[in-house]
Amino acid sequence: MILTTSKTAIGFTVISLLMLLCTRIVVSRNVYGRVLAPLMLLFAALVSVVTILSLDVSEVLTAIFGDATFTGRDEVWRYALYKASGNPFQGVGYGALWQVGGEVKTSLKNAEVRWIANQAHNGYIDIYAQLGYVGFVLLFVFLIHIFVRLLKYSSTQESGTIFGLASYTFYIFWGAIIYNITESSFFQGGEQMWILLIFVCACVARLLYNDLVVRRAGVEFGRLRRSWLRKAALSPD
Amino acid sequence: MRAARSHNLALAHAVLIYRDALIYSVLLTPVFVYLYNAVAGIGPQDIDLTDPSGNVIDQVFILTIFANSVLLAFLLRVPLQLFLLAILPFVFIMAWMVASIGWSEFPSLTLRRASRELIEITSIVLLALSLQSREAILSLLFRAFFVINLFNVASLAISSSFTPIGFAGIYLSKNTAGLAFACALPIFIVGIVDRTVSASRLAAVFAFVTSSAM
Repeated sequence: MILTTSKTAIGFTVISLLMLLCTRIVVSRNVYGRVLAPLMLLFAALVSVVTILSLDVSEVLTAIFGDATFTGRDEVWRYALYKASGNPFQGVGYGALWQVGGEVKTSLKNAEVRWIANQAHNGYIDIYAQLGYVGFVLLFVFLIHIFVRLLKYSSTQESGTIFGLASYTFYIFWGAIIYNITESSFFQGGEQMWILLIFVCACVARLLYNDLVVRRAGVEFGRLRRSWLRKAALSPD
Repeated sequence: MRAARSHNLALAHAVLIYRDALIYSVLLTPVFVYLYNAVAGIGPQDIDLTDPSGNVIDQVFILTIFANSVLLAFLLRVPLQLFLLAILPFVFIMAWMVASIGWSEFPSLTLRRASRELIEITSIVLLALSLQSREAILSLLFRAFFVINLFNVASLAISSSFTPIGFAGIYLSKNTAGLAFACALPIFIVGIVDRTVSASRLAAVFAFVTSSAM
């Protein structure tokens, strides 16, 4: 990862690991998870908000990333937002923004974008531009649904495991959220980050279902056992 | 009786091999793309970022995986209830995506790309549902990332894997390479810690060190 010099990848790894740690602490059923961790997270959020508000945003971004334009991505973001403004509720249509033919070159040039892009380099802007406010809200519904599923799996099946599937799925989940700030992968066919996210989330669904089946079988067995014992107690022999 | 049982066991074993082969085909796509590009002599400069036409090989691959994943789900009797549960988070946004054909500036492109997304999500979900244990999932991911990592190590010897802005390995851009390493690192750590995931701790350490350095 060092040779690639990819800031996105380094940011992905560091922030995802921190978020994973926070999530695991918050979901753990002890005093740290219930009181201390939420308080620390709240404090960190307050400090971040105050820092951003008291300083110039571009100054903060330059200090953190060395480039407030995210290597010229701001031009592409502006272009995608401009395209979405024509139909903000519905968007331009899925897959109808990038790689749509030679006219996109002229369109980008007219919007003063200096390079040809095949994505908005921000998954959230991409979804908003293509599917509008409705798509944007549905994306969050999707992410919340996935997160709740991961929390359920983590707390019921891997609460005591550090190096397991729960930690990895949380890492990929947070990674996808971070990655989509500077690149697009949500609902992008063939994107490895997206394929991995679908794969691990479906795996978690499978393991939750297996657990449900075992629990149902346990309940059924208990019911049969009780009825058998009752019958045995009532029998004259 | 014994012959019938051994026949059933062999059949079950064959289905599991078939399942693993399908999952590896999906997870090792970057390697196949790299080998195809190397044979066809395709580099980053040959890719037209405005071209809307689809890749026929890619389309055939996706449809093949889809057909096989449906067959696999049938062979392994993946419950429909489980499939619906797993696909549920995707349904609403996918429905909106398909509906967007109605107002899209390029309806035929929206139709093609939404169909592709639908097929891809269904295939991956069905493949993932065919796995039964967390050890099987993690060891499959470990082996896939390990192979990709080996190809990246080998690509160090090729000058074209180094772009002016950073090492791209078997990928076309350094960010994609960085992302692949970032996704693989925790699995390599799990491989070092958990012997059920990686058969060789040394291999896991090697993979972790090389992917961190690359």
